[in-house]
Amino acid sequence: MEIKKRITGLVLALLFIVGSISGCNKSAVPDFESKDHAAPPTGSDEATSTMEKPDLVYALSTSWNTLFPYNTNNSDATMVSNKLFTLLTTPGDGAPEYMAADSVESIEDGYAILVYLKPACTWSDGTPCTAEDWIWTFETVTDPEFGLFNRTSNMNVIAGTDVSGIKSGDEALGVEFVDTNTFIMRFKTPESIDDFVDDARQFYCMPKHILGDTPISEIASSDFWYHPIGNGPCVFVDEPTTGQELLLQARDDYFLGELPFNKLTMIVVDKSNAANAFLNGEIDIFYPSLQDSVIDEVIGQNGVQMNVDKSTRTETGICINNEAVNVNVRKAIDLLLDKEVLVQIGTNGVGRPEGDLLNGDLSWYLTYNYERNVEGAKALLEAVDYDYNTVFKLGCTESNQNVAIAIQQFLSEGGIQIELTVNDGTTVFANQRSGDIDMCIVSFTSNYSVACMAVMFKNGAPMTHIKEDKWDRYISDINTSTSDDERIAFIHEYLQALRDECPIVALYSRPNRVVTSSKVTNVYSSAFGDCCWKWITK
Amino acid sequence: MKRKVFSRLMFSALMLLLLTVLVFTLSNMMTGNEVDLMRIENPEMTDETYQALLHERGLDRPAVVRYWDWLTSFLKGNMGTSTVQNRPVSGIIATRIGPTIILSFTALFLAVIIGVPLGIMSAYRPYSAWDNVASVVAFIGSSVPGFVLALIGIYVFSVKLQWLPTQGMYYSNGDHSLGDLLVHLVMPAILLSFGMLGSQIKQTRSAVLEVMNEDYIKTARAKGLTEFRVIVKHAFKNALIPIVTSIGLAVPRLFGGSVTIEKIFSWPGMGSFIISSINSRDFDPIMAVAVIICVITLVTNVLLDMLYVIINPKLSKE
Repeated sequence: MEIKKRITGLVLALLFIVGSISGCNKSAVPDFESKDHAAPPTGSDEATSTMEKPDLVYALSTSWNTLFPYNTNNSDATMVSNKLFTLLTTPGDGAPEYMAADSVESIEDGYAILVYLKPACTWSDGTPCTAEDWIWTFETVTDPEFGLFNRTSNMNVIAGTDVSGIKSGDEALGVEFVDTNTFIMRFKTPESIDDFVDDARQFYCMPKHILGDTPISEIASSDFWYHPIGNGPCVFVDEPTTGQELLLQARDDYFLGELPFNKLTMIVVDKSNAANAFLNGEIDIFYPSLQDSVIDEVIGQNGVQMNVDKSTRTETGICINNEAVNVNVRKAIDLLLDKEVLVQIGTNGVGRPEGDLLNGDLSWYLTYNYERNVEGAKALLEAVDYDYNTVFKLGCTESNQNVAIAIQQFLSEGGIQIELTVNDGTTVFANQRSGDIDMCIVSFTSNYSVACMAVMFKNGAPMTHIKEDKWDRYISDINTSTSDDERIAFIHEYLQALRDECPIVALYSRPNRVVTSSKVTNVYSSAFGDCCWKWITK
Repeated sequence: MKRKVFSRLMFSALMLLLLTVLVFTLSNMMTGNEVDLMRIENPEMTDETYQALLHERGLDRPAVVRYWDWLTSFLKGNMGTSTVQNRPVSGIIATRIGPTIILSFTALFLAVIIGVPLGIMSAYRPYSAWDNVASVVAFIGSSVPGFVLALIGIYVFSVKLQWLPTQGMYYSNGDHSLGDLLVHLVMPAILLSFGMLGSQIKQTRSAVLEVMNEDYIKTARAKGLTEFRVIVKHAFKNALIPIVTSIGLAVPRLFGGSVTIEKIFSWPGMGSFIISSINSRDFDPIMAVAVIICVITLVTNVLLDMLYVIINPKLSKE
């Protein structure tokens, strides 16, 4: 009797488990016909009507750390904050892109700009976002009480701030209220409008009408950031798991354009699994991107498509400790590398060799004729009586490991020995700054600004250990040039100096390719954010 | 008995303390800190600002002082603040611990309900077809890394067959229902249980095999008891202690193993949280998660000791 009871119990338990799983399976697995899970293309290219706007799933490769836009610690987090907050300006496709700003006018001989705001910009609670909000934001974020966060140093271009973007000395902060939709921003040194915009400083506005009464020291840790009200394209709905899942609702009154989707869910998907998630119809957008080799395999399957960003590229180069590595050795390294091979290894052939780490699509850019020259490299080394017993340390992350191995082989042909260390990004960059390694492989997004990389080789730059002002002067000369001819001449001079001294050895650049499902296209996500109102959905 | 439990608890507390010292020391030995990470985002940061930030966040103080501060704060129930997220660690863990418990204990449950019967059957009929099947399962479970099984599982069941989702705990546009959860749980839980399954089968098999030749088994059979009763009532009961031990020892391993599975399946648990905390050198969350895993391990060990006494009352006299 007892045995029968046990057997019956066991069978019932098993039936329950099997029934639950199979029963749920039917209802829970996305139905590609009826649900919005990346349905295969139907052949219809009709514009999205209000009634048919789809819900989209936007996957990121890493967790976002916060919804507070001045403390985002990587570009994945920037993608999130850009859905909730609108930047003042952002680098565009070859021309400045104005976001909350309607236009910008250079005044006071380039030492200031007059910013005209778009009057239609509102907070998601309906309150207008005005110059008063912007001025209050600048004053608050630069206040020493506010604290230093990942993006607060963006403010350091404003007059009256120190290099960390904190208000310093007796000088008044360089922002001035003009009227509801206009304010003035003053700089420490002249800034051309193009370079101010292309410099991609992330200026976000905070709502004064909500946070204005909060003590400045408590704003950054305020509960407000758990469910923020922003002036961005989406409204915060819920964050079920911190940094892992965020539910957003498209605003129907967004001032930069009608949003082509209804709900946007932002989740984190491991990079190793993102292609599968696309093929299984679970995600619609993945940022930053799949591996180049994986992209080529998944494109076309289940309607998966590729979008190529026209305004930015990802540049990869070797950041060198200029104090530890002589200029001739740096140039020899540049000449010894077979960059075509590195392009194959690093980008699966979709990139191109680069001579410097500026965006190669600049129309007035010096043509770079890449040529490997082992003998030339050896001559450079002989000229400085190079000690061939020297062993340099090259640091890299796992993603660049194969490129690093190839670099090691190419350099050995010229007699330069390097030892590889593979670590996580934080360790690599900390070692580079401390001088524990002599060089490291870096990748970053470049845009059309000639100054976008200048920060890496200006005086005091911790990554390159440079101790001279001339790189700063080049940028200053370019920005203060009075005519196009003069500006172009300065730029050529600057680029030539980069070639002659190789403060950083450029390797290659690759286009920023965003993979999307069949439901959405025209998605161009760069490290500076994306413009989700420009997406096209089916 | 009470004295023994008390001394066991004291020993566990000491172990916990030592572990916090170890984790704190190791996490401080990692190159770089959260301010270094900020420097990656702000290449213009000067050494003065860098030092000021270190000072502001207390990272320039001696490690012993920082450990003491952390310990006294933790003993008062404060798990600290995630400086990267700018939120209290306890709040973040509150949203993360549930998914990890669901995943780990489902995997444990699966490993036990599959592993123990398979182990018993292998022992009951050594070198039979059942035994061979169990050996193959045990071999795969013990030798193939979880991430390999995960990628194969995703490819077959998600991409090819489209039966199961590839990631997450719920469908993004779903209703967060129980069914939604179960369908997402199936693959990570089965794959997580696989690693434990191998050792569970082997442990059960050897424990039951050992008692099968004992005199009391022969006596039970001679009394005319059914084979089922002989196995369950006499053999299995006497083989329980090593089986329970292996289950208990698997609990901390499950939490450790779930880190990889959670990452691959984007399961929103503590595994993915601790990985992002380590990558961003966010020390308070690292310490808090380590303490939680340690407490689970120690509590499991104490429970095991108590379970031994329940299984075999003779042990209480010893």
